[in-house]
Amino acid sequence: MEVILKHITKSFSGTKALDDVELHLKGGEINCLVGENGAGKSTVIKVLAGAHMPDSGEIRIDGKITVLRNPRESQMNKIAVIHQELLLVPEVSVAENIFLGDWPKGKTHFLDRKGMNEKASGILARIGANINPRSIVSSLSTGEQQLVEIAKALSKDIKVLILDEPTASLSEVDANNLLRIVKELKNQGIAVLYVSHRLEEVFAIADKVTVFRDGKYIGCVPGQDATKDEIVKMMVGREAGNIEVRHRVKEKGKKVLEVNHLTSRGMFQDISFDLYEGEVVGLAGLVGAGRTEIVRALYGADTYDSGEILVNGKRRNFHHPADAIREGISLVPEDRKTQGLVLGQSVEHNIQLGILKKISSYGMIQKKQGRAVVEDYRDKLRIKTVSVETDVNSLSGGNQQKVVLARSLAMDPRILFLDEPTRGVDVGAREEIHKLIDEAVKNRLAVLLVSSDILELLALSDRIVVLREGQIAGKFNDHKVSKEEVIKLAAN
Amino acid sequence: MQQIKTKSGQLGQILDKMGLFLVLLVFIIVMSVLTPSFLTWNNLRNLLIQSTILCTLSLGVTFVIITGGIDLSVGSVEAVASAIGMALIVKTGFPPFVGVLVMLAVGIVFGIINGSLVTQFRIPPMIVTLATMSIARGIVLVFTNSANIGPVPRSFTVLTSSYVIGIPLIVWVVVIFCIIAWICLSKTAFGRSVYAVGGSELAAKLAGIRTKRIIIMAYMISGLCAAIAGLLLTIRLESAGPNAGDGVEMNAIAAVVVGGTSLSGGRGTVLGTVLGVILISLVSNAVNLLGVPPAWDKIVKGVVIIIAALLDANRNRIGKRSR
Repeated sequence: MEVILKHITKSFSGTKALDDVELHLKGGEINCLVGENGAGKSTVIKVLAGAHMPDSGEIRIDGKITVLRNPRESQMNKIAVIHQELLLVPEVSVAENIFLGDWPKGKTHFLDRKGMNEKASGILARIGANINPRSIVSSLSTGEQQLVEIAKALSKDIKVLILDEPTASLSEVDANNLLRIVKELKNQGIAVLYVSHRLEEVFAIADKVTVFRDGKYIGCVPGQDATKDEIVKMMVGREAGNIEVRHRVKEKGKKVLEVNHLTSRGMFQDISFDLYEGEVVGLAGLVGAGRTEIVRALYGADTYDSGEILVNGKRRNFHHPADAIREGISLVPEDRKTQGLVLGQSVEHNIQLGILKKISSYGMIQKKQGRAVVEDYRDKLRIKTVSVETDVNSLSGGNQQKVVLARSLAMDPRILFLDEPTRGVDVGAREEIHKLIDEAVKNRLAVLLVSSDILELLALSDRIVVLREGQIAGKFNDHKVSKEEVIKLAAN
Repeated sequence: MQQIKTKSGQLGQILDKMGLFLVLLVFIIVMSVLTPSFLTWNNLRNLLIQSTILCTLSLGVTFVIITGGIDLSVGSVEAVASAIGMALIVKTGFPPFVGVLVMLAVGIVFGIINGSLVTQFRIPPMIVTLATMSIARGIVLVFTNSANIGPVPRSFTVLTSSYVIGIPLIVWVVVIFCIIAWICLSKTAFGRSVYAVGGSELAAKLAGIRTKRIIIMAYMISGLCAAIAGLLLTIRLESAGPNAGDGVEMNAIAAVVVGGTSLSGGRGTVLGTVLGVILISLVSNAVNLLGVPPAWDKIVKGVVIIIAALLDANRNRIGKRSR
């Protein structure tokens, strides 16, 4: 079995998610696909899964041009995809999940539970998984559930197996077990496409490593020849040129935030760092490294188990974001649609949300005063909207992000947490947001920045803390650090 | 810039705001043609008096529904406040104003219980208030011994017996409640928070709003309104009864939803609720005047609710598509 993708292009509303890429999968071979966020990995998986039709290009299966119009046609071509989020029904048994929708029936047309369990045992044995087919899925660990997902794929006769970040939420033992099984399946003649952020893993199992960057195919190197430096270089490639690097001349300001040995079991351990006024500290790390969790704990949105937080030298324990806000902290959350904005309400109401007390007297909102604040930030941040009474839902992503930022700035914070401040924002708005951050920092604001865009992190941060699997992997105290160094530490 | 908005969008917005007005207008015109007794001073005054209690209940429920919750207990809380207050006044001889204060306190306590169970234990509001509805009704039966408690003190009846510009005092009092509720929802920081919590509890929390406190307050207001409705009902019926307010929660929720408040939270107005109350009251009035069997009252109300819910679902869909 051989699957070859050639000249595949796929655009979403004008942006090319895939631009003339190729990919080669062969029976008995593991092809590892690597690339940064936005490289086009998920899109290519969706093309193979039949979820997206490419705009142009061809898919050849065993030499024959094939069109995968929907997931069913993908399955008919013996392709199985295991997505990052598991798609199991939690409250039913392992065997029922494995044969979901295709349960074996006995002569009487009733469910043949015994036969189903036996068959399930057979498949689980094939991948060396020691799981009782009668167990309820929700009682299994994430690692075991992952194996059930694979068994589910194998319950049908498949020739191509695609795994999207399968080890992202697994412990090391479970991850190693999974890698062993993937190798075993390869030896049984299945073609494997393995997508992962963890380079160590990639080198452990890859026959070939394919690199995508910004939706383009960069290259494919044999697994045994590839070196980490080479792969990282292929992944990051582009020059840092398109984001202006800020060089701040700064004298050491006051220490406003000190974090000591902060630990939240299962999320992050022993996190310590300082934040001074007038500087940006960047938190680098892969998805799942614990960056957002740390920020949320510092902000009082989540609890933590041990460690201490000092704000302006005083020990603080926030039980609610309102406590943190009172101490001059503000947060621009990760996902503006679900955490930042109240969709369906006006730009004005959204900006005023954090300063309701400030703009009211005896509980009554002072309309003029409130409007003045909103208009002020609308001008300063150049928020493009017909009127401040417009539903925030009708604004573009960049302008919505500016509304969230305006709300935080209007609260007049001394410490600002920015979680992915430019995610899903166009280049122009991103540059503007960068300028705003820079200006605020010049006015002695202290910023803790989380961003998956390493270039952004490097450009804006004075210092960088690199996280890996919930722990600090390293700290860089100047901005001269290279992207490769950070990625290497984060992905190790 | 304003003209860029599509015409159909503008028309939709106008219909959205005026829709209920138009429905009411058509209803009133049709009724006046069908029965001459409809458009009489007497009937209209009756209609107003009849809608006062439903209106008071609905104002409270509006707060809860805007937070994204629901309050099924208002009918029973109305009854329990009335029963306990009247028992104190009539059976134990407390002065009337103490009885009234206890009534209001009972409503507030039930509201706090509802709100706390919803926020602290994350029990769905439907279940919490279903339970307190049953508990409150049980307490009513205990206190009333399944018999009416009366008569009400003389001083109470001033609300129904004195008139200002030909309209009973009770109507004016409820009009004042409406104005207070309107100011509270649209002019205060608290009101803003209520909308924010209903629109996105998470976003509101991250912006520093103490969402649990806001939700408890909303249920408290609902309980208080139910207790006030209980007082008004006691005055109108001149006694507290075991079956007082039975099933009125459905009318109150219907009025609020018909008035354009979204069951998914974050949207709704006092004006809408008032119009909803008038429409629901009109339906009963019409059925009564036309001599249709009373069972039809419920059927027509049901249809009205479905139409209102359809309009709401439609609005939500349009809202989602526009982004």
